[in-house]
Amino acid sequence: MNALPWWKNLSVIRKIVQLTSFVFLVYGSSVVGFYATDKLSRAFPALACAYDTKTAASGVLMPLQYQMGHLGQAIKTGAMGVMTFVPILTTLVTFLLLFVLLNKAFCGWICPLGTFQEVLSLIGQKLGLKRQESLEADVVDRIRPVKWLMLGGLVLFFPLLSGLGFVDHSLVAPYCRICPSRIMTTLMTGSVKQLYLDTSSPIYMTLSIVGDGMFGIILVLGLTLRQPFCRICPMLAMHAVFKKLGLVRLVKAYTPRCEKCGLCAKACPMDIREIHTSQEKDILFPDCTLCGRCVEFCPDQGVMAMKYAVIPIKVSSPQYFKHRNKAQKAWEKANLTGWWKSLHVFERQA
Amino acid sequence: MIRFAALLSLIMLGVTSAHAGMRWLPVPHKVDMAHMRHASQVFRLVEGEGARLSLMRPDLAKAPITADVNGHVVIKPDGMAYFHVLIASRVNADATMTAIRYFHMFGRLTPVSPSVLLDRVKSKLEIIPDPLPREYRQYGAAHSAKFIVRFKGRPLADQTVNLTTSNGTHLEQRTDIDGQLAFTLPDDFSATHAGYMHNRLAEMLLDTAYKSDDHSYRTTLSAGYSVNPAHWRSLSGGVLVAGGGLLLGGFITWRMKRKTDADGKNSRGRKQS
Repeated sequence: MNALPWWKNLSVIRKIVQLTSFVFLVYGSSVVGFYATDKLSRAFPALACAYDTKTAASGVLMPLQYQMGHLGQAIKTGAMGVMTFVPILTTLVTFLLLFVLLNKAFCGWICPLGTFQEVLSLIGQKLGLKRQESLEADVVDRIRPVKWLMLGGLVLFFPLLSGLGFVDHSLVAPYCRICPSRIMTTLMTGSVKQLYLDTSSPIYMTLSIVGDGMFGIILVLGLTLRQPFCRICPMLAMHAVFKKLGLVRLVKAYTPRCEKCGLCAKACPMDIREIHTSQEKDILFPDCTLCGRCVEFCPDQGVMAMKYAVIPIKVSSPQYFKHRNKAQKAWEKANLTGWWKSLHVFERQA
Repeated sequence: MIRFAALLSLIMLGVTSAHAGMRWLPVPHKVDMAHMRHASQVFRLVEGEGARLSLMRPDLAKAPITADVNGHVVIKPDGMAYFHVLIASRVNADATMTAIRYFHMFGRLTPVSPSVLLDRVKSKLEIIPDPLPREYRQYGAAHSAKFIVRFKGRPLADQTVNLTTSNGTHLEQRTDIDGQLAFTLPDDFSATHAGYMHNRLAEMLLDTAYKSDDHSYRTTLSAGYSVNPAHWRSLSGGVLVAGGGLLLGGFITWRMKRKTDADGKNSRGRKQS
């Protein structure tokens, strides 16, 4: 059986896209111009961070929080008008124009924090650390609502309350204060300015403790658990709201064999077990990041497919599955523990 | 109290740096958050008698402006977002004096990049921010700020530039062969309060002079800069908390592994029985 060429391996193509996007979103201002992020893409549908002074694009969550704060203040002062809603609408329309192009693939293919977590997982795997293949169903179920609380509470509700004057002004952009992407992207540019304990107020101190602590947790969890932060990311929730509008789709032609198989669910880094039990055609679940691993690891011809509108990008096939599975095993075998063991075997034989 | 301190520091810049020449200063006025996007911006020109005033908009259109009876220049929102440039110019027989200030306004984006706006010659002798802090950002104390000095559009090497702040600091730097120089902005706020919200911006003024063909040129560039957040943000504290997160992450990983191993043993046991 011939090895799978890299340009046919969806995961390899995805990694190339992820790394290119990472460089663009973390360091890209040197390519597209220092001011490009302000002019083009302040509503990017991924966790690219405006605090990163070298970014070429920054995410939608920061302007959305401040605009909710402005909306709250306009309501409070009675200065409501058409212009009150223009900034929010502009942000959402810009977000949607971009989001429609790639849908939730912004998470699985573009997001710099998603890429960072995959690199952590890769490091853990190469160090020979035992990976937590999937979380238990009840744990997954308990985690799932957190992303909605993050979006509703930290991105929309608290900023609005802050503008209305019901809570302290410190809560006008609480999500940015805890976002691990802020710390990660700025550290990647060599700046330690965002890794701080803020003592200016009890609220800021609490938020900075949560942010720094969560960043530390992600650094360790990411070594053995796939995508720990993505599971609670408010951007994932925001994508889920608009997922029907995106052009990239994940579809399934259910067969009775699916019930016995379940390889797609095992391959899913977000532990979406419903992919294998669902009998629906549309299997783009709220937690999906459109990484495409479920399609890659489906052993049946044409059962799962990733499509761009109606054009198939990747369709499951037994041939691809065999090659991909073999490539995956070879990749996972190559780690420090394996290398250490083979060195000992070699020494004993010598 | 803070407003008073801000006013005092602006007055200080006006009084203590009388040698600095013509310069733009902001006029503090209260704007609430809800109306921030549609608020006018007010400036005054110090030592600007007889100067011609103009405004360059983000689309590079340049138009003359006038000061009101109080000597204030009120810039109303023009619907264009991003950087606008105030230019004051006074030309005598043997001397030219200019004062420049960049400021930001809200509105619709124009297709012209701010880089093009910065690159556009605004006066024969000119100090250009390299780069200008992006939208929602500003110069900050203890941080490096880079500039380029140009004469007739060309970089001016080995040129002395003075930096004076409203907090009383005076610094001097010389440009390199490419006309570039960098100042580490002084951490010179005498009374700092925790949080950006509770500290007003201080003013800095860059000024340089050059003589060519028996004609003297002098230019100033003014801008605000913020207090150093290191006064209430601790890096070591942040590292310590992140370290605590690492430990907690390690504990969670250990718990998950122990549970997975126990589940594995149980399922193997069930299979054997």
